[in-house]
Amino acid sequence: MNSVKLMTVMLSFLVLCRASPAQTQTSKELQDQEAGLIAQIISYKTTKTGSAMEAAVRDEFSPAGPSLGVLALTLVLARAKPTATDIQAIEGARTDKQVGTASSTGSGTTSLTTKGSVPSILGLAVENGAITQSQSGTTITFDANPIGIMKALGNHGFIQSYSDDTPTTRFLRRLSFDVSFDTNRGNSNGTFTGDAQQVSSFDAHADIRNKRDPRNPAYQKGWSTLIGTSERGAAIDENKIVLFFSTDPVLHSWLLSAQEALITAAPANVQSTVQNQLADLSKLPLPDKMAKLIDDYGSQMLAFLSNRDALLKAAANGSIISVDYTDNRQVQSPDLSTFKLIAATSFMNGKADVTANASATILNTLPAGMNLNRLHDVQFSAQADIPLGQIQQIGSFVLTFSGLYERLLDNNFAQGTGMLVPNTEGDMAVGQLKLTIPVKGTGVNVPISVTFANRTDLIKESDVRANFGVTFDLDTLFSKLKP
Amino acid sequence: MKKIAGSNFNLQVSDGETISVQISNTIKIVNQVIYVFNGSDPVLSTSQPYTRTLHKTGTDADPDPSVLSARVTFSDASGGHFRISVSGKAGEDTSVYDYDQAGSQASEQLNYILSFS
Repeated sequence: MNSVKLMTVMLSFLVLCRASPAQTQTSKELQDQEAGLIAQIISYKTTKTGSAMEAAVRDEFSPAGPSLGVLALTLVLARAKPTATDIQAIEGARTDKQVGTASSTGSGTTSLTTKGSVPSILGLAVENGAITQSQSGTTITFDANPIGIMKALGNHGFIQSYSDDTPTTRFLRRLSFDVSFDTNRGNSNGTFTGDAQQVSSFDAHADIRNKRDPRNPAYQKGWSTLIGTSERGAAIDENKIVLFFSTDPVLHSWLLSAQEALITAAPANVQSTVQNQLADLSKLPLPDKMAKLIDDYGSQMLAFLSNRDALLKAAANGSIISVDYTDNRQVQSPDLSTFKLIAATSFMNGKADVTANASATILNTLPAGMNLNRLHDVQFSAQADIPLGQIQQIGSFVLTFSGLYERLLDNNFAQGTGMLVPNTEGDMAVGQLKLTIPVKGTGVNVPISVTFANRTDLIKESDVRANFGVTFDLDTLFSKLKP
Repeated sequence: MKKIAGSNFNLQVSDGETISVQISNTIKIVNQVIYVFNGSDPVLSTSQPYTRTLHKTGTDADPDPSVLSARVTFSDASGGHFRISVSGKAGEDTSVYDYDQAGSQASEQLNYILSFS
């Protein structure tokens, strides 16, 4: 990194350190809206030409349209900052901001490649967001998303309009299904073909009670209050700001110039052009009436964003009760059906999470000549995840306690053989202590665990294992690698 | 109602015309939309269209241009979507715009400038 870049990063770091939590919250909203604006303009430049492209870009970057929020928040932050230099420093520090960056949540390993091609109907569904695909080892899982299916059908004109909050869709939102394929099965060993032979399991999941859904009726009053007060105030202010960009000659001149700059910019330069134009906007003198509206808008938006964050946090700490059915297709031995009850809630004022499961597994068929119970096993398990607090530049450590008790009512089948392994029925108890160490901002987590078990599925001897791993959030990693 | 120079947000309206705004194709949206017309507002559910009859002249004349805004709140941290449609006289233009929540964006306001013919 050269010295100029280093100075810019350091200066912006200092400015950000000085920034109050309020400014950080407003900055985040601006960053998100700005990223959406940039992505949309790039989309118009790559999908439209000539006057159609120009009209679309003007529409997008205009106080009349979807982008007044970006302009207004830019002015809010400009008026909150001592100098324009600080604003440019913050903008400069965002050189690595990726337009349209996906959420950075999620953990676990994923494979970059799929063995073989995805069958066309599944591929079409994945491509249109109706289902999502993930891979772990040789198992590929497709999750059916009822709302995603609805949106895909709507985008392709199969349904005229939809809402995910009608009584029917509220019911559908509680459901999910997935199908897993083991690529080692079937005739095309190691290649994904998507045929019935490769299906290894089917899962259906239903939420009985989900207080982690922000639209649960429990939060309706909170939303009404939020929308009826601070957000209403912000909406009125924004409405009143629109015409200043037509009536004030300085602002109008800036708008026309900014639109022309965006129309002529190459797609690769849209991000820098938008950021430069917003930097210019932040330096302009504002009419007194508009300045007052901007200040009020900033206060209203801050109150709205803070209260919304609190509401979403309350929802994230809500409790869930759900049921799950899994049909596990075995090779050479009877298929298994597992019925599971899942409950999760938070404690320690929402800082920690606890989850409990109770399940029963049955044999779908009883093999002839074997004296077996229909009921194969029952399991009870619980897990508590407790954040230990932040360490600067590392992140939040998480301590996990988990335990599982399983009662095997008959001897177990050896995998892929259809043969019973003698002397394997009985009780199994497993305890695990895990510490997850994050590397902040990299998408890398290092889980270290110790597992104690009185036996395994097939061997009746106590087992103590220490595990060490590394998990990657590839979206975050790739976002760091891109220049 | 006609789009000016193909714009979805700069619209030409007539004296006495009733315009209608409808939010549809909603995903992860709070079921309350804020509508503001020249600085005043009701709050309606997403399933109920907003309508207003515009007046160029008379004691209840509306400013020219007028500004109509519709503000939608996203209920989740990501994945929100909606469509907004604005229409007037039958047989004339309809403005249709689809919006996807950007990152963890909290809310989105669409503003329309209405100019009388």
